Amino acid sequence: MRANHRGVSRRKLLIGCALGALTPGIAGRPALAETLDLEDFLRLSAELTGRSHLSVDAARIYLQNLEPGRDGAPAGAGGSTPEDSDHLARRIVADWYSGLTVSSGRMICVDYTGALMWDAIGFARPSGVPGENAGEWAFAPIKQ
Amino acid sequence: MDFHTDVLVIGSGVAGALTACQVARKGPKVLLMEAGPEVDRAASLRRFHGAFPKTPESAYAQAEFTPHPETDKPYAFYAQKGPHPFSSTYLRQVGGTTWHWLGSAIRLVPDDFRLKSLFGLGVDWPISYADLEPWYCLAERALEVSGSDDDDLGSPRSAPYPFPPIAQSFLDLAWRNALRDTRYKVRATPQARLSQPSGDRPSCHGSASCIPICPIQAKYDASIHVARAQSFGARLLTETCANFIECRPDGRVEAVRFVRSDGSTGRVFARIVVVAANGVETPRLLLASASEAFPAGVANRSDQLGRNLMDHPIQLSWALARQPVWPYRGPGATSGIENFRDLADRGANSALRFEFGNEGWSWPTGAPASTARELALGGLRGTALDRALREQTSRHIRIAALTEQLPLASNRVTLDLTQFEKTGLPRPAIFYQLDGYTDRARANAKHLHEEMFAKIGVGAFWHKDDAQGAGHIMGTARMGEDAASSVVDKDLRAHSHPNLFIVGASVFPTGGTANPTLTIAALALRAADAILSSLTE
Repeated sequence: MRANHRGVSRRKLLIGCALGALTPGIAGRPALAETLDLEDFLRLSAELTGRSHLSVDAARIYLQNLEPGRDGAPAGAGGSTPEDSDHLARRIVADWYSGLTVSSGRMICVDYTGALMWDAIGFARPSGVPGENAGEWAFAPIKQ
Repeated sequence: MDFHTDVLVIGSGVAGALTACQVARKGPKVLLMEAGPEVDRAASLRRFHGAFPKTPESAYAQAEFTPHPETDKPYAFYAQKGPHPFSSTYLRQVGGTTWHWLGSAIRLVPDDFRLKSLFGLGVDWPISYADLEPWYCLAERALEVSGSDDDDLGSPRSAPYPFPPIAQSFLDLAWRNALRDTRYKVRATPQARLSQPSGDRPSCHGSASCIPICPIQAKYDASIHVARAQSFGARLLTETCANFIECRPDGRVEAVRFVRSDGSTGRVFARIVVVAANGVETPRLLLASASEAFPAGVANRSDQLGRNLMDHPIQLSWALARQPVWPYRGPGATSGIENFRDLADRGANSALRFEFGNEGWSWPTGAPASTARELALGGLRGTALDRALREQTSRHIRIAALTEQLPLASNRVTLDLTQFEKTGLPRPAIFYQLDGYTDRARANAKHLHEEMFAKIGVGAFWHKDDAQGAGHIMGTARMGEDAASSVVDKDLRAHSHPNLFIVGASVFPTGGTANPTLTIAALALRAADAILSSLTE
């Protein structure tokens, strides 16, 4: 699934701005928007989620599907606004936590077992992953 | 290619697999015909993990040859003809729908068999609870049910459960404590999942994915009895769909025509034919077998075939508890309330069975993923997001009330003769309507859910507006004493067709509120006895 050229450029711009706004220490460069790639997206994702080990395969799909104009993001051509960046940041976090993304207007599953929500929830595993001990569900979880 | 056998069983779900196994173990030659493919458990688990939405069918590939209905696309498979879309589904594959059943193994209660006599509703069964009780015991052994002998849940027992009960969840215990001094009696649910290892199957390890798939086969599925039937000499034909039953003018089944996924065709000549294809596929095949001698279809002189379609229309409600209950762990459901299944006012108000889900809000909202997205899109991030997500999901609770749907002749499966699938079978058409009895049942269930929510303490609650399908497709080939008003007799032999049997929930005259699989199994084992007797006639 590939965004069109115009979408990619705008997406790069937005991500660059988001990166700049959110991580001024590493991304204050004007040229960043034009050179932003998967590595930059992973760096931004790490900053936004606070997680350092993120799936490159999942990142590629999340990045491809960041299309401005969707999910309420302003779709006007030209520069981005702080609201754009904020919306984009929220969307990136939502994708990583849920393991889902919106692709061509349709929700798809990208990485169910690797979704960050499982770490955050702590007391439950992804469905379909057996536990270590039978009957453990009868008790309050050790990891709360 | 043609086949000759003693017994042909069409359909390899729990009814067909048990029948095939029970007959084959006594020596007769058995052919087990399954329209769909074999299932690869690991591949299915991967498909489930990659699916959105995570529906009961999401683990299983749609076969081009034998497609199956899907919960989230009610108009895709069925030709819906009534005011309410019929949303219960099934699978066409080796092992049938037991791949994605919940695993609750509950008996009907004695009064369920006498609804007409006791309450003036529906019809009576031609057999009593006492007639079926020994077969329930055998079914529990066959499905290796785990249950508590402390409480018979209103269904008297003559034998203990084969396995001790599955542990109730922390969430169940929270409900039990909250409802302790009320009329709501929270009880452990008997389940066809192992509380102890058995053979090469491990005990349940709480994979939290009973629907759609148990990754370790701790939950029973009918592939177990398919394999066992094969070990007794039964032959399994997969991707082989029966599409016409040939009958002699005297009613005896002469042969069954089939088509395979590679396009080849043939006939099976059998002394006994057993149709075990579920509440939609069974009438579909029999109606599609209309001939000059049987113009309304096979086993349909009563005009009851396909009629009386029933489900357990569900009132689904969910809430945010004030205290953590730690859901999203363990089997899908480990407790319920059984003491509303046979109240004195049943003539006016439907029986209800309440089921507590351990899977939080997965069913109504798609949580926890939906909760994660909502919180993140709302602007939370970092530890604040983690804390909120953990704090919210730990309090997700839901209740499902299964209602008893009365048999209505107008609720029926027919054929859409304008569309045919590759098997040569016409598309199933369904007219489905919920009556006032069901509407009242759901309204009552909402009220009772709110009463329970108040007891456990919730911050907010919600109700689904529409009835949810339970996946319990019953009634379309009802059993009865009178050939003029039923399809099969009490041995499940088709009226007018001495060598044709029908097994499965399609033969239920009424549905009670018990999840139907254990009753399907008990009836199949009972029918196998009659089939074996027939072979010696």
